[in-house]
Amino acid sequence: MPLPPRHPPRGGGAFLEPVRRESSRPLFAPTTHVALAATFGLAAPPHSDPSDTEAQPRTPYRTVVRSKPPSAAAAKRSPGFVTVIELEGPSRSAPRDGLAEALAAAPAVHVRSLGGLGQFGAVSIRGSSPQQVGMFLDGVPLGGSMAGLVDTGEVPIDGISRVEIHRGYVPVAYGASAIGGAVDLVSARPTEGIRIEGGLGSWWTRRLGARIGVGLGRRRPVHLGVGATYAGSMGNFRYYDDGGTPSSADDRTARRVGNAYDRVVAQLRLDVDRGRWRVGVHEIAMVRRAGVPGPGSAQAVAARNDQVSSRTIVRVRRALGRPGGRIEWLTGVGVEGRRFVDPRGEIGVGVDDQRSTSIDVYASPRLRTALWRDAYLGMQADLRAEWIAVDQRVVRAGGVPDGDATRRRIAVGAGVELEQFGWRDRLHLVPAVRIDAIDSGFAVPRGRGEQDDEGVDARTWAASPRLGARAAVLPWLALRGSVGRYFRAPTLVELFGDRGFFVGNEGLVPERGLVADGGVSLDATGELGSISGHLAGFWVRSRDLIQWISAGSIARPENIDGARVRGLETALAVRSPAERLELAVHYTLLDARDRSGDPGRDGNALPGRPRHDLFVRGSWGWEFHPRGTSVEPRMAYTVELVARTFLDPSGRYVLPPRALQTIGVQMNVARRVLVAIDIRNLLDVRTTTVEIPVADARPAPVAIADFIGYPLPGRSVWASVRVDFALARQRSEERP
Amino acid sequence: MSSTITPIVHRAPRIAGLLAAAVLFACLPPDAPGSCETPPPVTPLAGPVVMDGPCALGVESPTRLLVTTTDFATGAVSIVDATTFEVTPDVALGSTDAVPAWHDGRGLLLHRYQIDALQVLDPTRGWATAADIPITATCSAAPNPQSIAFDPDGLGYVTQLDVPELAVLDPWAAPGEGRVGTIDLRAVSDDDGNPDFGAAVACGSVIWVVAQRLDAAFARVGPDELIAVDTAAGVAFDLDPERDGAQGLRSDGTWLRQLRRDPADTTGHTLLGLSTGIERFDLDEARVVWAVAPERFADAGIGEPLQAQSFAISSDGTVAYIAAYDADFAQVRLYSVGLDGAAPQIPIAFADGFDSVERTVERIGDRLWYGSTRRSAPGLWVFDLGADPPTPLAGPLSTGLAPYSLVAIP
Repeated sequence: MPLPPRHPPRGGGAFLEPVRRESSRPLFAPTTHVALAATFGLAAPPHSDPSDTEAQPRTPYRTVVRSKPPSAAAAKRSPGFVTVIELEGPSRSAPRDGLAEALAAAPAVHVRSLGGLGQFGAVSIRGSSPQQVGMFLDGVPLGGSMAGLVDTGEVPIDGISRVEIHRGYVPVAYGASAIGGAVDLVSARPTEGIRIEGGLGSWWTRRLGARIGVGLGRRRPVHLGVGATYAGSMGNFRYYDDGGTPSSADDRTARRVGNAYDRVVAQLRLDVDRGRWRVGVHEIAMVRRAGVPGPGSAQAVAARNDQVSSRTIVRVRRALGRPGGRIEWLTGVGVEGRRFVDPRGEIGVGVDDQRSTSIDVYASPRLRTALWRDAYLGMQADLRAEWIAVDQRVVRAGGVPDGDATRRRIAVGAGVELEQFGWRDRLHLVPAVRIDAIDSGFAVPRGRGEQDDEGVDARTWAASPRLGARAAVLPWLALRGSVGRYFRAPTLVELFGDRGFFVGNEGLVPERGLVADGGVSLDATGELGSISGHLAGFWVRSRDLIQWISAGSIARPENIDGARVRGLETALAVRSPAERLELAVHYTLLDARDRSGDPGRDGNALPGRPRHDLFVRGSWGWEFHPRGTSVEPRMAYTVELVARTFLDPSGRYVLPPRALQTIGVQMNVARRVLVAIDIRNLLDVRTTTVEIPVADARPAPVAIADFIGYPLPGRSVWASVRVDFALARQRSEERP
Repeated sequence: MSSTITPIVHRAPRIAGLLAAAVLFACLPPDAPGSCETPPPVTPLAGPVVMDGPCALGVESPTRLLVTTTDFATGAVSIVDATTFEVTPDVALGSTDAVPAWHDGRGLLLHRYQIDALQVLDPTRGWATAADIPITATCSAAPNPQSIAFDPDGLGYVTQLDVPELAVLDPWAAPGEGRVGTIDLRAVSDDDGNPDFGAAVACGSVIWVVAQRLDAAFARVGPDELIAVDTAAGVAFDLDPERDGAQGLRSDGTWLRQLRRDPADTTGHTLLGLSTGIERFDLDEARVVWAVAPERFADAGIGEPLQAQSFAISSDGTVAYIAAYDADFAQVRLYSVGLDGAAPQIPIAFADGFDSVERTVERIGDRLWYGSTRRSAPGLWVFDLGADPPTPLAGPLSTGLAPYSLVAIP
């Protein structure tokens, strides 16, 4: 039996589930909603997160026509610039590189990697430092207070349906530390059916996963999903080894060692909808074993960073009063055991066997209620308590601090957000303020702390006011702008040090950032397809930046004056009818300058932030039905170009433009079997040339890198297959 | 519809098997570097140590400074005229961890941790790189060279923190032939098999090297020792036959990090060493005494092992100038202290507000040079030692990147 076309014709399709409006008046004409028609059975696209729309009755119709994903609609309503990256869908294969690869598709986001799959990656948004980016999983903060940043290599995206990237105006729910912005990983509601997927690629990169989702009850108010995924890689790519020396005499081609990782992630998700209540429980357990390879010129073969973690997120929500009103309780509990072992002293100062145990509890009641005409008030409070115990197993002689210590942090925050709509909902004004208080504690036996470190507890508080505005001057054109002040509290390592080599500084004050942006966005859909995009300018002035200073044999953090970032970001996405042709382009012009007052650095570009960042992705696919079976081939081409990237603070080490190209081919059969092959770094770019402006220096070949000395891989191939199976009940429902 | 997917499903076990094989293969440990398959330790020579030349530390009548600079991303070399205070920055590329030295008319850069190479600079060719010699070891991916000393034949002996041997280099050899051999010094190893060599000084054909006695976690497990090595025989001396193993001259302080010649000793066989105090090593007599006791350092608040950074000695050998961190590592202060009980007996600070990472104190004539990495004012500072206390003459003199380490040269 021929299947119906997946995409109804634009403008004439039925919209059986229109987007619920949070205002009492229509925001936009229905044509602004991109219709997606799902099909039979268990290959239906994943349901969106319950946090964004009210529950819709689910009936076993043969054809389900769904509105545009609610997150995208929410992004359009936001006064900030929000990019939503859909990770799951019937025609999307899982990104091989996980979060880093996904984020690369967003404007003004740059991920610096130490090289290889599963390795450390740091996210920068609009030229920020990684610590100035808030990272969340279903609204629960991920970044620990020890290091204060999230390593993208440690964040699995299994079960994540979309990534939301907030820039400019950041809702108070995402805390105060979003000087750069906030990234929320939104997990997928269980999809009925069984999915098995696997992949194999260069350097024995592999992935194998399975999950099952069932709907329980006659009207299926309960959705249960269970899944597990294994991923790993040898990471033993070839690279150009310059020996770390200026001379080319010792240069050679080497193979990366100590760069392997293995990771198993198991997940359980339960969603219950009953009346005005929604309850979601998400449990993620992960075991990860990863090598720490060190720089390319002196590779470490035995250092490892192993991790066992569990995170439970519970969200309880009840619709309240008028549409758009709700009361909600969000809870997250994380437990992690981590072991960093460096038995040969290849990475740090001497051998190391540090084991840490941490518990992270987050609780946040939230309320959104209608106030007066076209106005909503959002209130939220949150409490986060972290406890970290460090156990250094290497016995250190001579009275040297052994590094054992217990650290804790309790952070309390509260925010108020007023949403005022006006001018027939074309105007949206959001003033908000958030106040945070942080208490950091350090417990260590007397005489066993860091160098002359008394371990004095530290307390700080700060307010982060912000104002966002959106004005829809035309149905398809909106002006957006925001101004806000954000701050980042010092991490526990910055306050209290670590093992004696890093000496803490309890006198640190939080980093502060004044952020302003403004621009225009467009979103239009018509007979010829859809087009969306934006152009925005931004300006960020950071003060009291915390930087580590080398002081003899130790390092200590200090507040320095700061940095100034300004730039332009633009994005454009074009889709033809039925999404046969898709084109996404974004470009960011960034001017990120050191304002530290250091005469050798002040005014220089901040390292690792490319001045020009261009991303182009085009794909072309079509659908036909031989013998009644849907077949949808699709080809894609991506180029990522960065230029004018300095990797040093002194403005001497500038990388030539780097363009990495990717081609991909995939075939979707019967919307149940998806086979894909990607070739990344198609031209096998492994080296570049750097010329440091010093007297006798000549252009020298070096490995491509985001951090000096840490090579990135060359060409790689990734093949994947995904199969969706229907459950027996679904199959019976599919029959006419 | 199901007939379409059935064949693929049937292939699934094969695909799963392939993936399983990949996983199994991937879990095998990666290739490790070569193991230490070297001959047994050589029996040490019995003392006393007979030196056939004065100890070569520093140059006669220096007029310039060779300064390595870095921002910890890249590195360079600057030259400073000590008379005119003129700085010529960026005369050559360096690295992020380069220690300078001078020998036989050429500048030397010892690139240390994870770079592991000796770079030879030719001042007659605009400080062009004349040679670049990798320093490798079979037992270590990063031997971490620390110091170089030259015998009368011009061969360089390089201490390595991670390897119990001296690398023997010929910096003047043809390209690719700079590595001459090694001297196995496992006879002086401690329990972890590595004596953790640091500073080195050549006294004729005898090289004295500092064994820092650290364990694998870099914790101190024994006293620092000055070990004498006969370069001709390639063997260490045992200065205390009563004890097991080869013994050297023991320091009573902690972390013997820098050696200077004692100007008061015309034979050139007496060294002053900076640790938690200042020690005098009489190499002829194999005797160690305090020139400035650790208690005096402690009285000045610089008694902890990691605080002192570097030092220089006045021309008459009566006063030492020390760069040392405060206890909280917030700043470096410069101190002066009299040797052997001379005034001032307790170090007195005469300048503050600095930072430094490596050895950045040198005396040229009656001027003291200090290199600071302080973010607000990086560069070189000059002090007039004719005044009491020493007074600043200039600074900060920009060296391009911040100064990392420096050495006085002719």
